[in-house]
Amino acid sequence: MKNIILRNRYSLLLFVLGGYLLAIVVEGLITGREPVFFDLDNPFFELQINDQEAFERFTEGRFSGLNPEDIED
Amino acid sequence: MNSFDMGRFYALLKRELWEHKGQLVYTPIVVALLVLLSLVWAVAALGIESLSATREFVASTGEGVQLTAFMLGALPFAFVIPVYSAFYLLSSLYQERKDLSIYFWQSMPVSNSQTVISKIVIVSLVAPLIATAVIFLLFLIATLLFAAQGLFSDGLLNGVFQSLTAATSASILIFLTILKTALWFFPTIGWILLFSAFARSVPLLWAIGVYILVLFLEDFIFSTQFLANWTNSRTNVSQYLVWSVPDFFTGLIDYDLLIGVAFGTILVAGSIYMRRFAD
Repeated sequence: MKNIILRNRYSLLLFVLGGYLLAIVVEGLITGREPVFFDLDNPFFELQINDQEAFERFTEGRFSGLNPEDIED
Repeated sequence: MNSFDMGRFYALLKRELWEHKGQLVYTPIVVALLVLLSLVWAVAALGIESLSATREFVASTGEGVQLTAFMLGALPFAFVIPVYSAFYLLSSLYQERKDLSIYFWQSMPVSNSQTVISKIVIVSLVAPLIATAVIFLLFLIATLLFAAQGLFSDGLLNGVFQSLTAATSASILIFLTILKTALWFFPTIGWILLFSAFARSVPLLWAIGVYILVLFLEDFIFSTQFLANWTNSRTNVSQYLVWSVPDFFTGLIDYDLLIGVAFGTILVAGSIYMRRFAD
Protein backbone atom coordinates (compact mmCIF):
# COMPACT_ATOMS: atom_id res chain seq x y z
CA MET A 1 0.00 0.00 0.00
CA LYS A 2 2.79 2.37 0.98
CA ASN A 3 4.61 1.59 -2.26
CA ILE A 4 1.52 2.42 -4.29
CA ILE A 5 0.93 5.72 -2.49
CA LEU A 6 4.56 6.78 -2.69
CA ARG A 7 5.08 5.54 -6.27
CA ASN A 8 5.10 9.05 -7.72
CA ARG A 9 3.99 12.59 -6.88
CA TYR A 10 0.59 12.17 -8.55
CA SER A 11 -0.40 9.07 -6.59
CA LEU A 12 0.66 10.80 -3.37
CA LEU A 13 -1.31 13.94 -4.27
CA LEU A 14 -4.42 11.89 -5.05
CA PHE A 15 -4.11 9.98 -1.77
CA VAL A 16 -3.61 13.13 0.35
CA LEU A 17 -6.43 15.08 -1.33
CA GLY A 18 -8.69 12.02 -1.11
CA GLY A 19 -8.00 11.66 2.60
CA TYR A 20 -8.52 15.37 3.24
CA LEU A 21 -11.79 15.50 1.31
CA LEU A 22 -13.03 12.31 2.94
CA ALA A 23 -12.34 13.81 6.37
CA ILE A 24 -14.25 16.97 5.40
CA VAL A 25 -17.23 14.99 4.06
CA VAL A 26 -17.41 12.70 7.11
CA GLU A 27 -17.13 15.67 9.46
CA GLY A 28 -19.77 17.51 7.43
CA LEU A 29 -22.14 14.53 7.63
CA ILE A 30 -21.60 14.09 11.38
CA THR A 31 -21.99 17.76 12.30
CA GLY A 32 -24.73 18.29 9.71
CA ARG A 33 -23.27 21.36 8.07
CA GLU A 34 -25.75 23.04 5.76
CA PRO A 35 -25.07 21.23 2.47
CA VAL A 36 -26.05 24.16 0.21
CA PHE A 37 -23.75 27.15 0.09
CA PHE A 38 -24.47 28.61 -3.34
CA ASP A 39 -28.10 29.49 -2.81
CA LEU A 40 -29.28 31.22 -5.95
CA ASP A 41 -32.78 31.96 -4.62
CA ASN A 42 -33.39 35.61 -3.88
CA PRO A 43 -35.82 36.04 -0.96
CA PHE A 44 -36.63 39.61 -2.10
CA PHE A 45 -37.60 38.62 -5.62
CA GLU A 46 -40.05 35.94 -6.59
CA LEU A 47 -41.25 35.46 -10.12
CA GLN A 48 -43.34 32.52 -11.31
CA ILE A 49 -43.29 32.44 -15.09
CA ASN A 50 -45.64 29.46 -15.04
CA ASP A 51 -48.34 31.89 -14.06
CA GLN A 52 -48.78 33.65 -17.42
CA GLU A 53 -51.05 36.41 -16.15
CA ALA A 54 -48.76 37.34 -13.28
CA PHE A 55 -45.81 37.36 -15.66
CA GLU A 56 -47.62 39.71 -18.06
CA ARG A 57 -48.55 42.01 -15.21
CA PHE A 58 -44.95 42.01 -14.07
CA THR A 59 -43.49 42.82 -17.50
CA GLU A 60 -46.16 45.44 -18.13
CA GLY A 61 -45.21 47.24 -14.96
CA ARG A 62 -41.51 46.82 -15.65
CA PHE A 63 -41.57 48.32 -19.16
CA SER A 64 -44.16 51.04 -18.57
CA GLY A 65 -42.11 52.48 -15.72
CA LEU A 66 -44.77 51.59 -13.16
CA ASN A 67 -44.13 49.67 -10.01
CA PRO A 68 -45.52 46.14 -10.59
CA GLU A 69 -46.96 46.16 -7.08
CA ASP A 70 -49.02 49.26 -7.89
CA ILE A 71 -50.81 47.56 -10.77
CA GLU A 72 -54.11 46.16 -9.50
CA ASP A 73 -55.38 42.79 -10.53
CA MET B 1 13.96 17.92 21.42
CA ASN B 2 17.47 18.46 22.75
CA SER B 3 19.62 21.57 22.41
CA PHE B 4 21.24 20.26 19.19
CA ASP B 5 17.82 19.82 17.57
CA MET B 6 16.82 23.27 18.78
CA GLY B 7 19.98 24.71 17.23
CA ARG B 8 19.24 23.01 13.92
CA PHE B 9 15.68 24.28 13.96
CA TYR B 10 16.90 27.81 14.74
CA ALA B 11 19.30 27.52 11.78
CA LEU B 12 16.38 26.51 9.54
CA LEU B 13 14.43 29.59 10.65
CA LYS B 14 17.47 31.80 9.95
CA ARG B 15 17.79 30.23 6.52
CA GLU B 16 14.16 31.11 5.73
CA LEU B 17 14.68 34.69 6.88
CA TRP B 18 17.84 35.04 4.76
CA GLU B 19 16.20 33.58 1.66
CA HIS B 20 12.92 35.49 1.96
CA LYS B 21 14.03 38.74 3.54
CA GLY B 22 12.33 40.77 0.82
CA GLN B 23 8.93 39.24 1.45
CA LEU B 24 9.06 38.82 5.22
CA VAL B 25 10.95 41.95 6.34
CA TYR B 26 10.97 44.61 3.62
CA THR B 27 7.31 44.31 2.57
CA PRO B 28 5.85 45.32 5.98
CA ILE B 29 8.45 48.12 6.20
CA VAL B 30 7.39 49.49 2.79
CA VAL B 31 3.72 49.32 3.78
CA ALA B 32 4.51 51.12 7.06
CA LEU B 33 6.36 53.85 5.16
CA LEU B 34 3.39 54.31 2.84
CA VAL B 35 1.00 54.55 5.81
CA LEU B 36 3.35 57.03 7.48
CA LEU B 37 3.56 59.07 4.29
CA SER B 38 -0.23 59.24 4.02
CA LEU B 39 -0.41 60.21 7.71
CA VAL B 40 2.08 63.07 7.22
CA TRP B 41 0.15 64.17 4.13
CA ALA B 42 -3.14 64.13 6.10
CA VAL B 43 -1.55 66.06 8.99
CA ALA B 44 -0.16 68.66 6.59
CA ALA B 45 -3.55 69.03 4.94
CA LEU B 46 -5.34 69.48 8.29
CA GLY B 47 -3.51 72.67 9.32
CA ILE B 48 -2.20 73.68 12.76
CA GLU B 49 -5.55 74.72 14.33
CA SER B 50 -7.48 71.66 13.20
CA LEU B 51 -4.61 69.45 14.29
CA SER B 52 -4.55 70.97 17.78
CA ALA B 53 -8.32 70.50 18.03
CA THR B 54 -7.97 66.89 16.85
CA ARG B 55 -5.22 66.25 19.40
CA GLU B 56 -7.33 67.70 22.22
CA PHE B 57 -10.27 65.56 21.12
CA VAL B 58 -8.08 62.45 21.01
CA ALA B 59 -6.69 63.26 24.48
CA SER B 60 -10.23 63.63 25.85
CA THR B 61 -11.34 60.23 24.55
CA GLY B 62 -10.80 56.99 26.45
CA GLU B 63 -8.04 54.50 25.77
CA GLY B 64 -10.52 52.19 24.06
CA VAL B 65 -11.22 54.75 21.32
CA GLN B 66 -7.49 55.30 20.73
CA LEU B 67 -6.88 51.56 20.69
CA THR B 68 -9.57 51.13 18.02
CA ALA B 69 -8.07 54.02 16.05
CA PHE B 70 -4.63 52.38 16.16
CA MET B 71 -6.06 49.04 15.06
CA LEU B 72 -7.85 50.74 12.16
CA GLY B 73 -4.54 52.42 11.27
CA ALA B 74 -3.04 48.96 10.80
CA LEU B 75 -5.82 47.95 8.38
CA PRO B 76 -3.57 48.10 5.25
CA PHE B 77 -1.49 45.33 6.83
CA ALA B 78 -4.59 43.12 7.03
CA PHE B 79 -4.63 43.06 3.22
CA VAL B 80 -0.88 42.82 2.67
CA ILE B 81 0.15 40.17 5.25
CA PRO B 82 -2.05 37.35 3.83
CA VAL B 83 -0.83 38.10 0.30
CA TYR B 84 2.91 37.97 1.01
CA SER B 85 2.45 35.04 3.41
CA ALA B 86 0.68 33.08 0.66
CA PHE B 87 3.39 33.92 -1.88
CA TYR B 88 6.08 32.95 0.64
CA LEU B 89 4.41 29.57 1.18
CA LEU B 90 3.96 29.03 -2.55
CA SER B 91 7.64 29.63 -3.27
CA SER B 92 9.03 28.02 -0.11
CA LEU B 93 9.03 24.38 -1.29
CA TYR B 94 8.92 25.13 -5.03
CA GLN B 95 11.89 27.49 -5.33
CA GLU B 96 14.38 25.08 -3.72
CA ARG B 97 13.45 22.43 -6.30
CA LYS B 98 13.68 24.93 -9.12
CA ASP B 99 17.18 26.15 -8.22
CA LEU B 100 18.18 22.58 -7.17
CA SER B 101 19.30 23.75 -3.71
CA ILE B 102 16.98 21.04 -2.32
CA TYR B 103 19.78 18.50 -2.96
CA PHE B 104 22.12 20.51 -0.77
CA TRP B 105 19.55 20.89 2.02
CA GLN B 106 18.60 17.21 1.86
CA SER B 107 22.26 16.32 2.33
CA MET B 108 22.21 18.28 5.61
CA PRO B 109 21.22 16.53 8.86
CA VAL B 110 17.70 17.97 8.81
CA SER B 111 14.58 15.95 8.06
CA ASN B 112 11.82 16.87 5.63
CA SER B 113 9.40 17.29 8.54
CA GLN B 114 11.72 19.77 10.30
CA THR B 115 12.08 21.78 7.09
CA VAL B 116 8.32 21.94 6.44
CA ILE B 117 7.53 22.74 10.08
CA SER B 118 10.11 25.56 10.00
CA LYS B 119 8.19 27.12 7.10
CA ILE B 120 4.92 26.87 9.03
CA VAL B 121 6.54 28.48 12.09
CA ILE B 122 7.91 31.27 9.90
CA VAL B 123 4.54 32.09 8.38
CA SER B 124 2.44 31.70 11.52
CA LEU B 125 4.80 33.06 14.19
CA VAL B 126 7.95 34.80 12.91
CA ALA B 127 6.33 36.79 10.08
CA PRO B 128 3.56 38.05 12.43
CA LEU B 129 6.23 39.02 14.98
CA ILE B 130 8.14 41.03 12.35
CA ALA B 131 4.95 42.66 11.05
CA THR B 132 3.85 43.54 14.61
CA ALA B 133 7.25 45.06 15.41
CA VAL B 134 7.01 47.23 12.29
CA ILE B 135 3.42 48.23 13.16
CA PHE B 136 4.48 49.12 16.72
CA LEU B 137 7.29 51.32 15.36
CA LEU B 138 4.78 52.98 13.04
CA PHE B 139 2.46 53.68 16.01
CA LEU B 140 5.38 55.09 18.02
CA ILE B 141 6.44 57.43 15.20
CA ALA B 142 2.84 58.59 14.69
CA THR B 143 2.46 59.27 18.44
CA LEU B 144 5.78 61.13 18.55
CA LEU B 145 4.76 63.24 15.54
CA PHE B 146 1.55 64.27 17.30
CA ALA B 147 3.48 64.92 20.52
CA ALA B 148 6.06 67.08 18.69
CA GLN B 149 3.30 69.05 17.02
CA GLY B 150 1.65 69.68 20.39
CA LEU B 151 4.95 70.64 22.01
CA PHE B 152 5.88 73.16 19.33
CA SER B 153 2.43 74.68 18.80
CA ASP B 154 1.06 75.11 22.35
CA GLY B 155 3.65 73.45 24.59
CA LEU B 156 1.24 70.71 25.67
CA LEU B 157 1.82 66.97 25.78
CA ASN B 158 -1.65 65.95 26.85
CA GLY B 159 -2.74 62.45 25.89
CA VAL B 160 0.71 61.26 24.77
CA PHE B 161 1.21 58.67 27.50
CA GLN B 162 -2.34 57.44 27.02
CA SER B 163 -1.59 57.08 23.29
CA LEU B 164 1.59 55.13 24.04
CA THR B 165 -0.34 52.70 26.25
CA ALA B 166 -3.01 52.34 23.56
CA ALA B 167 -0.32 51.75 20.90
CA THR B 168 1.27 48.98 22.98
CA SER B 169 -2.07 47.31 23.67
CA ALA B 170 -3.08 47.59 20.00
CA SER B 171 0.21 46.01 18.88
CA ILE B 172 -0.29 43.05 21.23
CA LEU B 173 -3.87 42.58 20.02
CA ILE B 174 -2.77 42.83 16.37
CA PHE B 175 -0.14 40.13 16.96
CA LEU B 176 -2.72 37.86 18.62
CA THR B 177 -5.18 38.53 15.78
CA ILE B 178 -2.59 37.50 13.15
CA LEU B 179 -1.74 34.42 15.22
CA LYS B 180 -5.39 33.40 15.50
CA THR B 181 -5.93 34.04 11.79
CA ALA B 182 -2.99 31.76 10.98
CA LEU B 183 -4.62 29.01 13.07
CA TRP B 184 -7.95 29.48 11.28
CA PHE B 185 -6.13 29.33 7.95
CA PHE B 186 -4.09 26.25 8.87
CA PRO B 187 -5.83 24.09 6.22
CA THR B 188 -5.03 26.79 3.63
CA ILE B 189 -1.38 26.83 4.78
CA GLY B 190 -1.27 23.04 4.36
CA TRP B 191 -2.99 23.23 0.96
CA ILE B 192 -0.52 25.82 -0.40
CA LEU B 193 2.49 23.92 1.00
CA LEU B 194 1.25 20.70 -0.62
CA PHE B 195 1.10 22.30 -4.05
CA SER B 196 4.35 24.16 -3.49
CA ALA B 197 5.98 20.75 -2.96
CA PHE B 198 4.02 19.13 -5.80
CA ALA B 199 4.02 21.50 -8.79
CA ARG B 200 6.79 21.37 -11.39
CA SER B 201 5.75 24.85 -12.53
CA VAL B 202 3.22 27.59 -11.58
CA PRO B 203 2.26 26.29 -8.09
CA LEU B 204 -0.25 29.16 -7.70
CA LEU B 205 -2.23 27.91 -10.68
CA TRP B 206 -2.15 24.34 -9.37
CA ALA B 207 -3.32 25.36 -5.88
CA ILE B 208 -6.22 27.49 -7.12
CA GLY B 209 -7.05 25.29 -10.12
CA VAL B 210 -7.32 22.04 -8.19
CA TYR B 211 -9.44 23.74 -5.52
CA ILE B 212 -11.90 25.04 -8.13
CA LEU B 213 -11.88 21.69 -9.94
CA VAL B 214 -12.70 19.77 -6.73
CA LEU B 215 -15.47 22.27 -5.91
CA PHE B 216 -16.94 21.82 -9.39
CA LEU B 217 -16.61 18.02 -9.48
CA GLU B 218 -18.18 17.62 -6.04
CA ASP B 219 -21.18 19.73 -7.02
CA PHE B 220 -21.44 18.17 -10.50
CA ILE B 221 -21.09 14.49 -9.54
CA PHE B 222 -22.51 14.29 -6.01
CA SER B 223 -24.61 17.50 -5.90
CA THR B 224 -23.08 18.32 -2.52
CA GLN B 225 -21.02 21.30 -1.39
CA PHE B 226 -19.08 20.04 1.61
CA LEU B 227 -15.80 21.68 0.55
CA ALA B 228 -17.51 25.04 -0.10
CA ASN B 229 -19.23 24.86 3.30
CA TRP B 230 -15.94 23.90 4.95
CA THR B 231 -14.29 26.97 3.39
CA ASN B 232 -17.27 29.13 4.29
CA SER B 233 -17.06 28.05 7.94
CA ARG B 234 -13.69 29.82 8.27
CA THR B 235 -14.17 33.01 6.29
CA ASN B 236 -15.96 35.12 8.91
CA VAL B 237 -13.74 38.08 9.86
CA SER B 238 -15.14 38.20 13.41
CA GLN B 239 -13.56 34.76 13.97
CA TYR B 240 -10.07 36.24 13.63
CA LEU B 241 -10.41 39.53 15.51
CA VAL B 242 -9.04 39.64 19.06
CA TRP B 243 -10.19 42.52 21.27
CA SER B 244 -8.59 41.35 24.53
CA VAL B 245 -5.99 38.82 25.67
CA PRO B 246 -8.53 36.53 27.44
CA ASP B 247 -10.64 36.76 24.27
CA PHE B 248 -7.72 35.17 22.38
CA PHE B 249 -7.47 32.18 24.73
CA THR B 250 -11.22 31.57 24.85
CA GLY B 251 -11.29 31.86 21.04
CA LEU B 252 -8.78 29.01 20.77
CA ILE B 253 -11.27 26.58 22.29
CA ASP B 254 -13.42 26.53 19.19
CA TYR B 255 -14.54 23.37 17.44
CA ASP B 256 -14.19 24.75 13.90
CA LEU B 257 -10.71 26.11 14.60
CA LEU B 258 -9.42 22.90 16.19
CA ILE B 259 -10.91 20.59 13.55
CA GLY B 260 -9.33 22.86 10.90
CA VAL B 261 -5.92 22.44 12.50
CA ALA B 262 -6.46 18.67 12.70
CA PHE B 263 -7.47 18.37 9.02
CA GLY B 264 -4.77 20.80 7.94
CA THR B 265 -2.27 18.37 9.46
CA ILE B 266 -3.23 15.84 6.74
CA LEU B 267 -2.13 18.33 4.07
CA VAL B 268 1.04 19.26 5.97
CA ALA B 269 1.92 15.54 6.29
CA GLY B 270 1.31 15.22 2.55
CA SER B 271 3.70 18.08 1.80
CA ILE B 272 6.37 16.47 4.03
CA TYR B 273 6.10 13.21 2.06
CA MET B 274 5.89 15.14 -1.22
CA ARG B 275 9.29 16.72 -0.56
CA ARG B 276 10.94 13.36 -1.32
CA PHE B 277 10.12 13.91 -5.02
CA ALA B 278 12.82 16.48 -5.59
CA ASP B 279 12.88 16.37 -9.38
